[in-house]
Amino acid sequence: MAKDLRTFLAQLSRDYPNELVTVDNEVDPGRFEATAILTELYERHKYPAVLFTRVKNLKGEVSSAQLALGLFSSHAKAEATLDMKGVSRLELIEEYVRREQAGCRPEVIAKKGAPVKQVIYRDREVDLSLFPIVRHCEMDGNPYIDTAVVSYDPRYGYNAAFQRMMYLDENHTAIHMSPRHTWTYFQAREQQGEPLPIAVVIGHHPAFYFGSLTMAPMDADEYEIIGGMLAEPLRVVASETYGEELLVPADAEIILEGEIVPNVRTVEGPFMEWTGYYGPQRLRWVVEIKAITHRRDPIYSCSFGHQTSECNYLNLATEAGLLADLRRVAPTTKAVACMGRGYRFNVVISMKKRMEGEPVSAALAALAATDYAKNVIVVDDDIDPWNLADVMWAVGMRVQPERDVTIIKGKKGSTLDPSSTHELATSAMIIDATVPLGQPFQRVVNIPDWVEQRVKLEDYISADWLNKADYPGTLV
Amino acid sequence: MTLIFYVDCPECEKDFYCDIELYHMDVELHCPYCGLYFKKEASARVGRPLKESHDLVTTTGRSQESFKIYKPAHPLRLKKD
Repeated sequence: MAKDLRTFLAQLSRDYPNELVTVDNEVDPGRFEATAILTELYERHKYPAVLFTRVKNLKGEVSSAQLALGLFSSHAKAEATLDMKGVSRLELIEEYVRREQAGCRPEVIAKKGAPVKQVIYRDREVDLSLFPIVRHCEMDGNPYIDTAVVSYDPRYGYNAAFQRMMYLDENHTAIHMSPRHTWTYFQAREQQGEPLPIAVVIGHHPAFYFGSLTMAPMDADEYEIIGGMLAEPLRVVASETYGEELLVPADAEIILEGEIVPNVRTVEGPFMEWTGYYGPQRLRWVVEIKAITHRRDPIYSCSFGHQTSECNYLNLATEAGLLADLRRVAPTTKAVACMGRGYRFNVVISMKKRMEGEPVSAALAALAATDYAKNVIVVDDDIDPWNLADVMWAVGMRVQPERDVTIIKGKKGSTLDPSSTHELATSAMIIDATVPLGQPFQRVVNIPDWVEQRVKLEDYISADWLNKADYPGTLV
Repeated sequence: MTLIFYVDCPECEKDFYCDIELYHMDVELHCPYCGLYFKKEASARVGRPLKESHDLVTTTGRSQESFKIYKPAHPLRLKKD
């Protein structure tokens, strides 16, 4: 059986029962109710995937679709996505890199064997308001479809990328594209006065979306990368509208087929972004939906990106992409972490420095590899880059700002950065928090090894006290 | 991101913000709270940024004269309880 959203939910139910919860009460996602429930769960430090079995569509009727949210919101679910268990975040990242490089060619199947073709709407039958499209946060311009969009360019192959799409009416959405791959595909078409066919992939195995977030170059076929991430061929099928010119994932729950229309714009936004801010309303592109295909009783799904818990694991792809890139520049790079809320703007590189200048070269490579990277801290390999206290200890104890801080002006930045005063350009900061080589440096405090080996805590303090579940476990 | 301006919806009177390029264009803004489309001139309060630093060619790639504006015939209106 091919991997899909249903096999993943079954896997969670079987192997990680605390990672999936079902809500049978009627919920209206178009009126913030689904995201309000997720937010309340996260505030209680609970991060399950949530399957809403009875949800309203945009007409206010109970939909034939269910709604699955929070599919990326914990380490355990990231493990399940990559078929691993009991591994560290760095091991997940290393596995992501391995699968991305391995790849796997897609398998084209006939329509009759494609679950996503069980129900087909074309042309005037198309009605997006039949689905439980989620209105995430208060100032969102409308309900948003926030998932992977697939497009094809014969020069480069298939691209898959998360693009936010704002509901406009039954067969139109707005779409936001940052100036990367999908945008490049569309620019080439628009210059010829042609639309860009796209497929919106709603409800697939999370590995599909991990692959969609790849930082691979433009000419890498992302269906092959997604196959690598699934560890099996991605099954694809001819689209209803564009035939074999646009192959779409056969095991998705729902596919919206349509095209980005040339020479037309609309006002789009605001939208809750993973930055934690609402991106402003602006002029963006228009998508005309030509056909909708879906499974019987489909499961609608999307990302809830502004939540740190969710974006943290969606971000695994960025950390993996940076790790692979940086090891070409600095082979002793141990790990790359994107830190805190607004994660991709703050990058921490842990490395075994071999020569002065190597940390700055690694940081420059990170800044070049992704538009989002803005503040890069480089630490020695004794620092856990995901441990903010350790990282800030290194910054506090190993950095002389005059010597170790470098400011870069005018690099390509992100349209989502609220601090920027230019549409695309940004400044950037590199902090080299590694210990200088070739000169004496103070030693980190420690207890002698011979004493640590001899002292067993249980010999001195009762097991009852040591096992107290309510001990806070942190100092501050 | 770029410079923004705040605007009040003439119907529900709540405020939201837009990219400064929309300030200079002849387009209807869309209230995210009630769904109303309106020209900024209809707003009781439009806040401008202190400085403006870029022209009207942005990531949409074109100036306004070269494209049409799409507006839904029946915009979605959010009704409260």
